[in-house]
Amino acid sequence: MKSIASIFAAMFVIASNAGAASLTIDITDVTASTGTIGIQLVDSKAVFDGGGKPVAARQIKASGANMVSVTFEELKPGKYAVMVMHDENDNGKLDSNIFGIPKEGYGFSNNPNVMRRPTFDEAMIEMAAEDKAITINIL
Amino acid sequence: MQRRAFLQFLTAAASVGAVFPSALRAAAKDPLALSAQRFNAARKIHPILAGWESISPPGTGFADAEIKGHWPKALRGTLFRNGPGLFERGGQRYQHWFDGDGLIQAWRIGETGIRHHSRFVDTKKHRRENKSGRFEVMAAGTTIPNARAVSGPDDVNTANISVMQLGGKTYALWEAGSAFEINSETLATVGAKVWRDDLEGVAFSAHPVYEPDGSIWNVGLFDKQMIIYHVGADGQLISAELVALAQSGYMHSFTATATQLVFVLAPMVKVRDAGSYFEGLGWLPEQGSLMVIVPKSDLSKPRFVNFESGAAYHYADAWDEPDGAIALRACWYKTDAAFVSPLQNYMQGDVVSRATAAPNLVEIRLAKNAKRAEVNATAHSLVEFPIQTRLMRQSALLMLQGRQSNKHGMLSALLYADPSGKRLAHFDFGDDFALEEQLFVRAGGKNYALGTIFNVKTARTGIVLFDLKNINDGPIAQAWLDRAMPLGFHGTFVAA
Repeated sequence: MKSIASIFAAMFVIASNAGAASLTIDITDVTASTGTIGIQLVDSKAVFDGGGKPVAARQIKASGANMVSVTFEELKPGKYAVMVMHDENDNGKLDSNIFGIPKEGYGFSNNPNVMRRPTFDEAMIEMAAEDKAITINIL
Repeated sequence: MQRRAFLQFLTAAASVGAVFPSALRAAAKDPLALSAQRFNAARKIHPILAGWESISPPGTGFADAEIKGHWPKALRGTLFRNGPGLFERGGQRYQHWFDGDGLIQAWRIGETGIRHHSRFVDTKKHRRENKSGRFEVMAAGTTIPNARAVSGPDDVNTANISVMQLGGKTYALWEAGSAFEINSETLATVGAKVWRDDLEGVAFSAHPVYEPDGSIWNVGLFDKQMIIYHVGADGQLISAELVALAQSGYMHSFTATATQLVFVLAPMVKVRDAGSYFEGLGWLPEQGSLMVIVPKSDLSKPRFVNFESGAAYHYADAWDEPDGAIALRACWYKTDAAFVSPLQNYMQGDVVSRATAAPNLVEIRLAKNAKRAEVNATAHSLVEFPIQTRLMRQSALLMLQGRQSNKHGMLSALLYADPSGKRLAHFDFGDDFALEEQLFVRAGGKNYALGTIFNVKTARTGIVLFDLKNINDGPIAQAWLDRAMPLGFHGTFVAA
């Protein structure tokens, strides 16, 4: 299993896919007004676990707004998961305490209530031919 | 990169199951709403239930207490108390006493009288739930339907167990997350205490052990990781050492001899991946309790000893013996039956009389180089809240005591005893009173016990003061509010 931090590094690679539907993600509870919010869309368990490139990724500078939105276009029907990391101090990693509990914000599609890294299935969303909108709460 | 630390976090969570897992499907009838209805109906009839009734945020304003007896002039200062003070939101009621948000109470003992006020600790949870008007996150012992996801223990921190004064600052303590600094005068929350950058959000439990030099030892637990803190009397961190454990377990407090820190983990382990933390714990007697002995001189050299299963919330004292053995006394529960949810019946509005469920005092002895510790009974039964006697002679014990015949099942007596079994002094307030933790206080060259008390018949809360030389005659002074405050857990006295 690769760490969230290594996936975060890969987020900056943006791939594109031909398709029809768009996915709009509202990211709420952005409490820190500094740093960069990285959003990554993946389409398999392997990539979710860090074994490949995401379908799409985006990064947004935090501005103090409690909510930010991003839309990924032209997605093929299928199973996806979204991972969000808020690198609040822009040091390129998800800071954690000595117990390994993250000190910076993160979130996943479906907002799984698990106080650990969710599985792909727990974070999985289905895209059909229609546009879709979801909300991810930053923890 | 942060790979190792985060993987450690993920692995720990996976092995123990989610600490606060997915919200349960809403029941056809909301049990928390039914519980609120039942409690509030019963409260109209039974004054004792005022001990588990909510205070409205932000707390209660100053109130003068009714003075009885003689309060010594030399005794001036503040008795701080902490405990759960908010049990209902949005028509729902918690099921477990430990769930409520921490309410700090201050009894200001001054020249002109005794004044009381209280204020909730403004944790992230408290602030968030005040805003929404409903329970948002999983509680320690109650499953909240549709609870929101959380990142770590500080998202559910209620800061509701005790109060610590260190380096001139006052802290509200929980056991699974950060300490919260509070303003000593106004009780307003300053914020979560970060002892060191990598300790942000790390558990800092509620029973620090004091050294004669005024420094403290403390502990934090997260699954199979334990952190040991040593903080100077000036409030500056001296050291923090991570100890890896072979098994997880539950620990509320710890004790120390002159040379060793002694931690005991009860065999209560996450076995169900659903519901709240306490609901998910199972009692695994085959695992045994785990004693971790750590030399104060070298925190990197822990020893681990398994022994017979049992659990303690509180320890009386501990000492080194000349032959290299260590010994400690604990208020010992043999199983989790009475341990995991004390006084649950009252919390849920059930006033049916039941037996006092307090533990018995045992002596736990670990011989030098022994592979197991021995647990030996003492003559003292139904005892809890042993008083930290670091300033008293070690061979005497001061603690609260219950009685099987007490019709409310509450602790009602103060016991001063010789560990060999001799009752040196004793005073029982009777069935109409619940005596809470009494603290050892020294003032004007005299020794006192000071603590809160609840009149279950009149629903009034007060404080009582015992002269330790004359416990048998009862308290020498009292001060009573004309209202009840929720029963609490622990506190500290800060002399003026």
